[in-house]
Amino acid sequence: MNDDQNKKKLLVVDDDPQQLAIMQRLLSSGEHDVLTAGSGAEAMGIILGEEPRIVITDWFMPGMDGIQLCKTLRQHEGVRFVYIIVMTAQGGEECMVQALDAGADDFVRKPLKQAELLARLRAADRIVCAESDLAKRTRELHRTNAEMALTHQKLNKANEQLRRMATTDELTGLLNRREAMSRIEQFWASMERYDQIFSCIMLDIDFFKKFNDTHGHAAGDKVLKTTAQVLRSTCRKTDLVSRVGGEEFLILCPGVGADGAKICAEHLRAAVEKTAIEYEGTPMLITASLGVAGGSKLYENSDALIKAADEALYASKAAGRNRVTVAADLNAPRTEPGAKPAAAPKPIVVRTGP
Amino acid sequence: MNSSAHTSVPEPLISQLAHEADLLDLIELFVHELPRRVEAMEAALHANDLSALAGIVHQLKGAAGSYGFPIITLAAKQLEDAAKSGAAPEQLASDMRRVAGLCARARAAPACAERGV
Repeated sequence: MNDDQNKKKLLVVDDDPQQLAIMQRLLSSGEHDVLTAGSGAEAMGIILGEEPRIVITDWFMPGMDGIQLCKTLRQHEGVRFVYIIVMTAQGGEECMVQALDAGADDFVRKPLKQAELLARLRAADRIVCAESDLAKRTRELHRTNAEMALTHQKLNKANEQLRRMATTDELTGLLNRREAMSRIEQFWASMERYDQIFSCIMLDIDFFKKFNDTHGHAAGDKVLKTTAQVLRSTCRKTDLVSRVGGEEFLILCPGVGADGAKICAEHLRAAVEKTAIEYEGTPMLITASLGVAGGSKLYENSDALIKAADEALYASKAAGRNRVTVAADLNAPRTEPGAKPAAAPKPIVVRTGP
Repeated sequence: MNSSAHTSVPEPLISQLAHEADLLDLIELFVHELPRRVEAMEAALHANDLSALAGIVHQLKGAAGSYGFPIITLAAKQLEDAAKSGAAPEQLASDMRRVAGLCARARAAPACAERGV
């Protein structure tokens, strides 16, 4: 509905037809489209249907009187703001107070002088315009807020997706190399600051390249995905499993030293070995070689720790694959006076596999 | 210019808005309709329906002022108050006569009056 048109609509309510007639005449020189109602009930119908912005109502009328009309309009949820002028032939200050408290915006006594009536309507127009403006701004504000909330939601979703993409390996759903390196830095810092131990296990699928060349990339991908599932379900919930290379996985075990990690690594090795990977109807068996290094301040940094796990892994490969090797116990060199901590300790082969 | 005193010779009661040419036709209509209002009031009083009487007089009270007859408004207020408070029949009859008398004298403009002002 056109707001500018409604702004000009004015409703006069009086049960006396001749009172309505003279009001209409007095208002004819003004700028309003004058509507009339002979009762409070009729007025309600016109207000809901025509949405006049100003209502001038008589007080005493049979049925719904002017005061009841005020109260109804103010309580009615569906009615937008209307400026209400209550007019009465009698009544002193207490009547005025009653009318204003009932929700009237203005109170006038009959007989109404034309100049005064038109001046009061100009004042009413100012309020109606201000209210319309405010309502419009409020609507715009609500719309902008809703749009911003939607944008915010989209942005959050996009950020979440980006964050996931930045931290996750697409093929396996495991943490990616970048995220694994970030986590190991955190573990390293916690170890240095609070002596919180952790270990890392490096795992490499045996003969993966050969497997890939023989059976194709799709089969290779299936192997990687299945291995990822096996690792995740075999590890403890607190362990972080990541894919750091083509067929290379790094498992970070917080709160666990080299001995505990060795047990964990053996579980992983056994789990991979016994998993039959279905590919195009053919079950395929694979094995993995693992290297374990317990976090220790005797390593220069986290890179040195990973390097130690890597070297233990290659010792497993060299010793025939499908086995676990633990990097040398770095506490040992400290017992020798004057000896430097080994930056790259020689792995000790611990054969736990077949 | 209009005397509210009871006089034996009815003096016309001219609307204070008589100079408003724009309103003259409406005032004439109002004056023309006054006997109908008086009849309705007398009927209500005769039937001793004081609440109906109060309602009709209340309308007259509001409208008369708007049409330039404040003196009718005052008299109507007196009758309305009497009807609402259930005043004695003599009091009601006296107030009714006063309203009816004023209504009978009401004229829209001097030209409509039987005599000049």
